[in-house]
Amino acid sequence: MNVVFWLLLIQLFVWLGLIGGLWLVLEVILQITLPVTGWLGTFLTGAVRIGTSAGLAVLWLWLWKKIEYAYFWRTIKKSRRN
Amino acid sequence: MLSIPFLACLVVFSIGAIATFYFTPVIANMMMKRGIFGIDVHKLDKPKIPEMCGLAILIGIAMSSAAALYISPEFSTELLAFLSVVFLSGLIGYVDDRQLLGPRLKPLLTALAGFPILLLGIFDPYPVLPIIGRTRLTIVYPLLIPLAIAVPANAVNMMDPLNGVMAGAGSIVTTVLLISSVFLGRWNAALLSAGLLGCLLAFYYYNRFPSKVFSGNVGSLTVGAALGAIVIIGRLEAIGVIAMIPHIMNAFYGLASVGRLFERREITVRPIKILKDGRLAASSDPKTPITLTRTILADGPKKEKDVVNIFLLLTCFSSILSLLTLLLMVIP
Repeated sequence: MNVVFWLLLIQLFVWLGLIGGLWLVLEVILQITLPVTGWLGTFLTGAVRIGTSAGLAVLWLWLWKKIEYAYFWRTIKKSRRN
Repeated sequence: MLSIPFLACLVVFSIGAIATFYFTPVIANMMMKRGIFGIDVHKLDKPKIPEMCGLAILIGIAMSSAAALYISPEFSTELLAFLSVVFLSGLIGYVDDRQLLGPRLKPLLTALAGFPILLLGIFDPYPVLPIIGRTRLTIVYPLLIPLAIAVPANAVNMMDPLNGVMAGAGSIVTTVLLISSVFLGRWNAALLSAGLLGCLLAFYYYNRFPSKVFSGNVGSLTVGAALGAIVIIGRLEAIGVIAMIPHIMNAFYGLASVGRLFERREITVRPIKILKDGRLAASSDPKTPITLTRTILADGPKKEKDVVNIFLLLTCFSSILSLLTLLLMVIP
Protein backbone atom coordinates (compact mmCIF):
# COMPACT_ATOMS: atom_id res chain seq x y z
CA MET A 1 0.00 0.00 0.00
CA ASN A 2 2.93 2.26 -0.81
CA VAL A 3 0.74 4.20 -3.22
CA VAL A 4 -1.80 5.01 -0.49
CA PHE A 5 0.95 6.38 1.77
CA TRP A 6 2.25 8.66 -1.01
CA LEU A 7 -1.19 9.87 -1.99
CA LEU A 8 -1.97 10.67 1.65
CA LEU A 9 1.31 12.62 1.85
CA ILE A 10 0.37 14.55 -1.30
CA GLN A 11 -3.04 15.31 0.24
CA LEU A 12 -1.28 16.57 3.37
CA PHE A 13 0.93 18.79 1.19
CA VAL A 14 -2.15 20.19 -0.59
CA TRP A 15 -3.91 20.85 2.75
CA LEU A 16 -0.90 22.55 4.33
CA GLY A 17 -0.37 24.55 1.14
CA LEU A 18 -4.00 25.75 1.18
CA ILE A 19 -4.01 26.71 4.87
CA GLY A 20 -0.51 28.21 4.84
CA GLY A 21 -1.05 29.95 1.51
CA LEU A 22 -4.32 31.53 2.66
CA TRP A 23 -2.64 32.78 5.84
CA LEU A 24 0.33 34.16 3.89
CA VAL A 25 -1.89 35.95 1.35
CA LEU A 26 -4.43 37.41 3.79
CA GLU A 27 -2.15 38.17 6.75
CA VAL A 28 1.14 39.09 5.06
CA ILE A 29 0.86 39.88 1.34
CA LEU A 30 -2.37 41.89 1.55
CA GLN A 31 -0.78 44.02 4.32
CA ILE A 32 2.04 45.16 2.03
CA THR A 33 1.93 48.93 1.40
CA LEU A 34 4.49 50.61 -0.86
CA PRO A 35 5.94 53.94 0.31
CA VAL A 36 4.50 55.76 -2.73
CA THR A 37 1.65 58.26 -2.31
CA GLY A 38 -1.24 59.19 -4.63
CA TRP A 39 -2.99 57.14 -7.27
CA LEU A 40 0.30 55.64 -8.46
CA GLY A 41 0.98 54.33 -4.95
CA THR A 42 -2.48 52.77 -4.71
CA PHE A 43 -2.08 51.20 -8.16
CA LEU A 44 1.43 49.87 -7.45
CA THR A 45 0.46 48.51 -4.03
CA GLY A 46 -2.53 46.70 -5.58
CA ALA A 47 -0.40 45.33 -8.42
CA VAL A 48 2.28 44.06 -6.01
CA ARG A 49 -0.32 42.42 -3.75
CA ILE A 50 -2.14 40.68 -6.64
CA GLY A 51 1.09 39.74 -8.44
CA THR A 52 2.69 38.24 -5.33
CA SER A 53 -0.47 36.32 -4.39
CA ALA A 54 -0.90 34.96 -7.92
CA GLY A 55 2.81 34.04 -8.05
CA LEU A 56 2.49 32.16 -4.77
CA ALA A 57 -0.57 30.25 -6.06
CA VAL A 58 1.23 29.34 -9.30
CA LEU A 59 4.32 28.21 -7.35
CA TRP A 60 2.15 25.97 -5.16
CA LEU A 61 0.42 24.43 -8.19
CA TRP A 62 3.77 23.95 -9.94
CA LEU A 63 5.27 22.23 -6.91
CA TRP A 64 2.19 20.01 -6.57
CA LYS A 65 2.43 19.00 -10.26
CA LYS A 66 6.18 18.30 -9.95
CA ILE A 67 5.68 16.10 -6.88
CA GLU A 68 2.85 14.14 -8.57
CA TYR A 69 4.74 13.68 -11.84
CA ALA A 70 7.95 12.64 -10.09
CA TYR A 71 6.08 10.10 -7.96
CA PHE A 72 3.97 8.78 -10.85
CA TRP A 73 6.70 8.21 -13.41
CA ARG A 74 9.18 6.83 -10.85
CA THR A 75 6.55 4.32 -9.69
CA ILE A 76 5.56 3.37 -13.24
CA LYS A 77 9.23 2.74 -14.16
CA LYS A 78 9.78 0.72 -10.98
CA SER A 79 6.69 -1.43 -11.56
CA ARG A 80 7.72 -2.05 -15.21
CA ARG A 81 11.14 -3.30 -14.01
CA ASN A 82 9.53 -5.80 -11.60
CA MET B 1 -38.49 24.18 12.61
CA LEU B 2 -39.17 21.06 14.66
CA SER B 3 -38.27 21.48 18.30
CA ILE B 4 -35.53 18.93 17.82
CA PRO B 5 -33.46 19.90 14.71
CA PHE B 6 -31.86 16.45 14.66
CA LEU B 7 -35.29 14.91 14.13
CA ALA B 8 -35.90 17.28 11.20
CA CYS B 9 -32.60 16.17 9.65
CA LEU B 10 -33.53 12.53 10.21
CA VAL B 11 -36.92 12.99 8.51
CA VAL B 12 -35.36 14.78 5.51
CA PHE B 13 -32.59 12.13 5.31
CA SER B 14 -35.15 9.29 5.36
CA ILE B 15 -37.37 10.84 2.68
CA GLY B 16 -34.35 11.40 0.38
CA ALA B 17 -33.14 7.84 0.97
CA ILE B 18 -36.54 6.17 0.50
CA ALA B 19 -37.33 8.16 -2.67
CA THR B 20 -33.95 7.42 -4.28
CA PHE B 21 -34.05 3.78 -3.18
CA TYR B 22 -37.50 3.39 -4.77
CA PHE B 23 -36.91 5.34 -7.98
CA THR B 24 -33.41 4.04 -8.90
CA PRO B 25 -34.58 0.56 -10.07
CA VAL B 26 -37.69 2.10 -11.70
CA ILE B 27 -35.50 4.47 -13.75
CA ALA B 28 -32.96 1.70 -14.43
CA ASN B 29 -35.70 -0.51 -15.95
CA MET B 30 -37.01 2.42 -17.98
CA MET B 31 -33.53 3.21 -19.35
CA MET B 32 -32.82 -0.42 -20.28
CA LYS B 33 -36.19 -0.64 -22.11
CA ARG B 34 -35.30 2.49 -24.09
CA GLY B 35 -31.82 1.20 -24.89
CA ILE B 36 -30.08 3.84 -22.77
CA PHE B 37 -27.20 1.89 -21.26
CA GLY B 38 -23.44 2.04 -20.95
CA ILE B 39 -20.83 -0.70 -21.11
CA ASP B 40 -18.88 -1.36 -17.92
CA VAL B 41 -15.49 -1.36 -19.64
CA HIS B 42 -13.61 -2.40 -16.50
CA LYS B 43 -15.22 -5.88 -16.44
CA LEU B 44 -14.11 -8.81 -18.58
CA ASP B 45 -17.67 -9.70 -19.64
CA LYS B 46 -18.43 -6.04 -20.53
CA PRO B 47 -21.97 -5.95 -19.02
CA LYS B 48 -24.64 -3.47 -20.15
CA ILE B 49 -25.56 -1.13 -17.29
CA PRO B 50 -28.52 1.31 -17.42
CA GLU B 51 -27.32 4.92 -17.75
CA MET B 52 -28.71 8.21 -16.39
CA CYS B 53 -30.03 6.59 -13.20
CA GLY B 54 -28.79 9.69 -11.36
CA LEU B 55 -32.24 11.06 -12.22
CA ALA B 56 -33.33 9.18 -9.08
CA ILE B 57 -30.95 11.36 -7.02
CA LEU B 58 -32.58 14.44 -8.53
CA ILE B 59 -36.04 13.11 -7.59
CA GLY B 60 -34.78 12.24 -4.09
CA ILE B 61 -33.36 15.75 -3.63
CA ALA B 62 -36.66 17.29 -4.79
CA MET B 63 -38.70 15.19 -2.36
CA SER B 64 -36.35 15.71 0.60
CA SER B 65 -36.29 19.46 -0.12
CA ALA B 66 -40.10 19.51 -0.19
CA ALA B 67 -40.05 17.84 3.23
CA ALA B 68 -37.47 20.35 4.47
CA LEU B 69 -39.68 23.20 3.22
CA TYR B 70 -42.69 21.76 5.08
CA ILE B 71 -40.68 21.32 8.29
CA SER B 72 -38.76 24.61 8.11
CA PRO B 73 -40.61 27.20 5.99
CA GLU B 74 -38.20 29.89 7.28
CA PHE B 75 -35.53 28.42 4.97
CA SER B 76 -37.73 28.72 1.85
CA THR B 77 -35.38 31.14 0.01
CA GLU B 78 -32.35 28.93 0.65
CA LEU B 79 -34.30 25.87 -0.50
CA LEU B 80 -35.48 27.67 -3.64
CA ALA B 81 -31.90 28.70 -4.48
CA PHE B 82 -30.61 25.17 -3.76
CA LEU B 83 -33.29 23.49 -5.87
CA SER B 84 -32.79 25.93 -8.76
CA VAL B 85 -29.03 25.26 -8.84
CA VAL B 86 -29.50 21.49 -8.56
CA PHE B 87 -32.20 21.31 -11.24
CA LEU B 88 -30.30 23.53 -13.68
CA SER B 89 -27.18 21.37 -13.22
CA GLY B 90 -29.25 18.20 -13.57
CA LEU B 91 -30.73 19.56 -16.79
CA ILE B 92 -27.23 20.32 -18.13
CA GLY B 93 -26.22 16.76 -17.22
CA TYR B 94 -29.31 15.36 -18.95
CA VAL B 95 -28.55 17.31 -22.13
CA ASP B 96 -24.91 16.17 -21.94
CA ASP B 97 -26.01 12.55 -21.61
CA ARG B 98 -28.27 12.83 -24.64
CA GLN B 99 -26.42 15.26 -26.94
CA LEU B 100 -22.80 15.45 -25.68
CA LEU B 101 -21.85 18.99 -24.68
CA GLY B 102 -18.30 20.11 -25.39
CA PRO B 103 -15.51 20.28 -22.79
CA ARG B 104 -15.78 24.08 -22.63
CA LEU B 105 -19.56 24.47 -22.86
CA LYS B 106 -20.31 22.14 -19.93
CA PRO B 107 -18.24 24.07 -17.30
CA LEU B 108 -19.61 27.36 -18.68
CA LEU B 109 -23.23 26.19 -18.37
CA THR B 110 -22.67 24.80 -14.86
CA ALA B 111 -21.17 28.17 -13.88
CA LEU B 112 -24.38 29.84 -15.10
CA ALA B 113 -26.33 27.39 -12.92
CA GLY B 114 -24.90 29.27 -9.91
CA PHE B 115 -26.83 32.44 -10.77
CA PRO B 116 -29.96 31.64 -8.67
CA ILE B 117 -27.76 31.95 -5.55
CA LEU B 118 -26.56 35.36 -6.73
CA LEU B 119 -30.04 36.53 -7.72
CA LEU B 120 -31.66 35.41 -4.46
CA GLY B 121 -28.72 36.82 -2.45
CA ILE B 122 -28.25 33.59 -0.46
CA PHE B 123 -24.59 34.12 0.37
CA ASP B 124 -22.48 35.81 2.98
CA PRO B 125 -19.41 37.58 1.57
CA TYR B 126 -17.63 37.34 4.95
CA PRO B 127 -16.32 33.76 4.93
CA VAL B 128 -14.59 32.40 8.02
CA LEU B 129 -11.20 30.94 7.15
CA PRO B 130 -9.02 28.67 9.32
CA ILE B 131 -6.49 30.49 11.57
CA ILE B 132 -7.37 33.85 9.94
CA GLY B 133 -10.99 34.10 11.08
CA ARG B 134 -13.68 36.23 9.45
CA THR B 135 -12.66 37.92 6.19
CA ARG B 136 -14.35 40.61 4.07
CA LEU B 137 -14.66 39.62 0.38
CA THR B 138 -17.62 41.80 -0.65
CA ILE B 139 -16.41 42.32 -4.23
CA VAL B 140 -14.65 39.03 -4.95
CA TYR B 141 -17.12 36.63 -3.29
CA PRO B 142 -20.11 37.15 -5.66
CA LEU B 143 -17.75 36.73 -8.62
CA LEU B 144 -16.60 33.38 -7.21
CA ILE B 145 -20.12 31.92 -6.83
CA PRO B 146 -20.46 30.62 -10.44
CA LEU B 147 -17.02 28.99 -9.97
CA ALA B 148 -18.12 27.53 -6.63
CA ILE B 149 -20.85 25.62 -8.50
CA ALA B 150 -18.96 24.82 -11.73
CA VAL B 151 -15.79 23.49 -10.04
CA PRO B 152 -17.41 20.89 -7.70
CA ALA B 153 -19.98 19.92 -10.36
CA ASN B 154 -17.29 19.16 -12.94
CA ALA B 155 -14.85 17.71 -10.38
CA VAL B 156 -17.50 15.19 -9.22
CA ASN B 157 -18.35 14.54 -12.89
CA MET B 158 -14.67 13.76 -13.58
CA MET B 159 -14.37 11.51 -10.52
CA ASP B 160 -16.86 8.90 -11.64
CA PRO B 161 -14.40 6.43 -13.17
CA LEU B 162 -15.21 3.20 -11.32
CA ASN B 163 -18.19 1.50 -9.67
CA GLY B 164 -19.39 3.39 -6.60
CA VAL B 165 -16.69 6.09 -6.51
CA MET B 166 -18.98 9.04 -7.25
CA ALA B 167 -21.73 8.02 -4.81
CA GLY B 168 -19.30 6.69 -2.15
CA ALA B 169 -16.93 9.67 -2.14
CA GLY B 170 -19.93 12.04 -2.44
CA SER B 171 -21.51 10.43 0.64
CA ILE B 172 -18.33 10.91 2.66
CA VAL B 173 -18.01 14.59 1.66
CA THR B 174 -21.71 15.17 2.42
CA THR B 175 -21.31 13.55 5.85
CA VAL B 176 -18.52 16.04 6.62
CA LEU B 177 -20.75 18.94 5.53
CA LEU B 178 -23.57 17.58 7.71
CA ILE B 179 -21.31 17.19 10.77
CA SER B 180 -19.81 20.67 10.24
CA SER B 181 -23.17 22.40 9.76
CA VAL B 182 -24.62 20.70 12.87
CA PHE B 183 -21.47 21.63 14.84
CA LEU B 184 -21.74 25.27 13.70
CA GLY B 185 -25.52 25.34 14.20
CA ARG B 186 -26.23 26.09 10.53
CA TRP B 187 -29.46 24.17 10.28
CA ASN B 188 -30.30 25.25 6.73
CA ALA B 189 -27.14 23.54 5.44
CA ALA B 190 -27.68 20.61 7.84
CA LEU B 191 -31.13 19.92 6.36
CA LEU B 192 -29.83 20.13 2.79
CA SER B 193 -26.85 17.88 3.62
CA ALA B 194 -29.10 15.34 5.36
CA GLY B 195 -31.37 15.13 2.31
CA LEU B 196 -28.44 14.77 -0.10
CA LEU B 197 -26.77 12.16 2.14
CA GLY B 198 -29.95 10.05 2.17
CA CYS B 199 -30.12 10.17 -1.64
CA LEU B 200 -26.42 9.32 -2.08
CA LEU B 201 -26.41 6.39 0.35
CA ALA B 202 -29.50 4.90 -1.30
CA PHE B 203 -27.95 5.36 -4.74
CA TYR B 204 -24.64 3.87 -3.52
CA TYR B 205 -26.52 0.66 -2.69
CA TYR B 206 -27.16 0.12 -6.42
CA ASN B 207 -24.03 1.85 -7.76
CA ARG B 208 -21.45 0.08 -5.54
CA PHE B 209 -19.18 -2.62 -6.98
CA PRO B 210 -20.40 -4.44 -9.08
CA SER B 211 -22.65 -1.61 -10.33
CA LYS B 212 -26.24 -2.31 -11.30
CA VAL B 213 -26.77 1.33 -12.35
CA PHE B 214 -24.70 4.23 -13.69
CA SER B 215 -25.48 7.77 -12.56
CA GLY B 216 -24.63 9.43 -15.89
CA ASN B 217 -23.74 13.12 -16.14
CA VAL B 218 -27.22 13.95 -14.86
CA GLY B 219 -26.32 12.33 -11.52
CA SER B 220 -22.73 13.49 -11.12
CA LEU B 221 -23.39 17.12 -12.11
CA THR B 222 -26.42 17.19 -9.78
CA VAL B 223 -24.39 15.90 -6.83
CA GLY B 224 -21.42 18.24 -7.48
CA ALA B 225 -23.65 21.30 -7.85
CA ALA B 226 -25.60 20.32 -4.72
CA LEU B 227 -22.32 20.12 -2.76
CA GLY B 228 -21.27 23.56 -4.07
CA ALA B 229 -24.66 25.07 -3.17
CA ILE B 230 -24.59 23.60 0.37
CA VAL B 231 -21.08 24.98 0.89
CA ILE B 232 -22.21 28.52 -0.08
CA ILE B 233 -25.55 28.42 1.78
CA GLY B 234 -23.94 26.96 4.92
CA ARG B 235 -20.82 29.18 4.72
CA LEU B 236 -18.66 26.04 4.79
CA GLU B 237 -16.22 27.17 2.08
CA ALA B 238 -12.91 26.00 3.57
CA ILE B 239 -14.41 22.74 4.89
CA GLY B 240 -15.93 21.90 1.50
CA VAL B 241 -12.72 22.58 -0.43
CA ILE B 242 -10.60 20.45 1.91
CA ALA B 243 -13.11 17.56 1.96
CA MET B 244 -13.03 17.52 -1.84
CA ILE B 245 -9.20 17.35 -2.15
CA PRO B 246 -9.32 13.91 -3.91
CA HIS B 247 -11.80 15.34 -6.46
CA ILE B 248 -9.59 18.41 -6.94
CA MET B 249 -6.48 16.20 -7.25
CA ASN B 250 -8.16 14.09 -9.92
CA ALA B 251 -9.31 17.12 -11.92
CA PHE B 252 -5.98 18.93 -11.51
CA TYR B 253 -3.91 15.93 -12.69
CA GLY B 254 -6.12 15.52 -15.75
CA LEU B 255 -5.99 19.21 -16.65
CA ALA B 256 -2.24 19.47 -15.97
CA SER B 257 -1.37 16.42 -18.09
CA VAL B 258 -3.67 17.24 -21.03
CA GLY B 259 -3.08 20.99 -20.79
CA ARG B 260 -6.71 21.97 -21.45
CA LEU B 261 -10.32 21.10 -20.59
CA PHE B 262 -11.21 17.72 -22.08
CA GLU B 263 -13.93 15.07 -22.21
CA ARG B 264 -13.25 11.43 -21.36
CA ARG B 265 -14.53 10.36 -24.77
CA GLU B 266 -11.86 12.54 -26.47
CA ILE B 267 -9.08 10.37 -25.04
CA THR B 268 -8.24 7.75 -27.65
CA VAL B 269 -5.62 5.85 -25.61
CA ARG B 270 -7.20 4.79 -22.31
CA PRO B 271 -5.23 5.60 -19.12
CA ILE B 272 -6.28 2.23 -17.67
CA LYS B 273 -6.25 -1.20 -19.25
CA ILE B 274 -7.91 -4.41 -18.14
CA LEU B 275 -5.74 -7.53 -17.82
CA LYS B 276 -6.78 -11.07 -18.73
CA ASP B 277 -7.33 -11.91 -15.05
CA GLY B 278 -9.78 -8.97 -14.68
CA ARG B 279 -7.40 -6.73 -12.75
CA LEU B 280 -6.88 -3.10 -13.78
CA ALA B 281 -3.45 -1.73 -14.73
CA ALA B 282 -2.12 1.77 -15.46
CA SER B 283 -1.11 2.53 -19.00
CA SER B 284 2.55 3.57 -19.32
CA ASP B 285 1.81 5.56 -22.50
CA PRO B 286 3.02 9.14 -21.88
CA LYS B 287 0.25 10.50 -24.15
CA THR B 288 -2.61 9.41 -21.87
CA PRO B 289 -3.75 11.79 -19.12
CA ILE B 290 -2.61 11.22 -15.55
CA THR B 291 -5.72 10.64 -13.47
CA LEU B 292 -6.09 9.67 -9.83
CA THR B 293 -7.11 6.14 -10.91
CA ARG B 294 -3.95 5.82 -13.01
CA THR B 295 -1.85 7.11 -10.10
CA ILE B 296 -3.43 4.55 -7.74
CA LEU B 297 -2.55 1.81 -10.25
CA ALA B 298 0.99 3.11 -10.87
CA ASP B 299 2.66 0.59 -8.53
CA GLY B 300 1.01 -2.44 -10.13
CA PRO B 301 -2.31 -4.00 -11.23
CA LYS B 302 -5.17 -4.11 -8.73
CA LYS B 303 -8.73 -5.43 -8.56
CA GLU B 304 -11.37 -2.79 -9.31
CA LYS B 305 -12.85 -3.15 -5.82
CA ASP B 306 -9.44 -2.43 -4.22
CA VAL B 307 -9.02 0.72 -6.34
CA VAL B 308 -12.50 1.89 -5.29
CA ASN B 309 -11.60 1.27 -1.62
CA ILE B 310 -8.44 3.38 -2.04
CA PHE B 311 -10.55 6.21 -3.51
CA LEU B 312 -12.86 6.04 -0.49
CA LEU B 313 -9.90 5.87 1.90
CA LEU B 314 -8.41 9.02 0.33
CA THR B 315 -11.78 10.78 0.72
CA CYS B 316 -11.96 9.66 4.38
CA PHE B 317 -8.49 11.16 4.96
CA SER B 318 -9.45 14.47 3.30
CA SER B 319 -12.58 14.46 5.47
CA ILE B 320 -10.45 14.14 8.60
CA LEU B 321 -8.33 17.07 7.35
CA SER B 322 -11.50 19.03 6.73
CA LEU B 323 -12.74 18.37 10.28
CA LEU B 324 -9.32 19.56 11.54
CA THR B 325 -9.90 22.68 9.42
CA LEU B 326 -13.26 23.10 11.16
CA LEU B 327 -11.45 23.06 14.52
CA LEU B 328 -8.96 25.65 13.23
CA MET B 329 -11.94 27.82 12.24
CA VAL B 330 -13.61 27.75 15.65
CA ILE B 331 -10.49 28.00 17.85
CA PRO B 332 -10.18 31.72 18.67
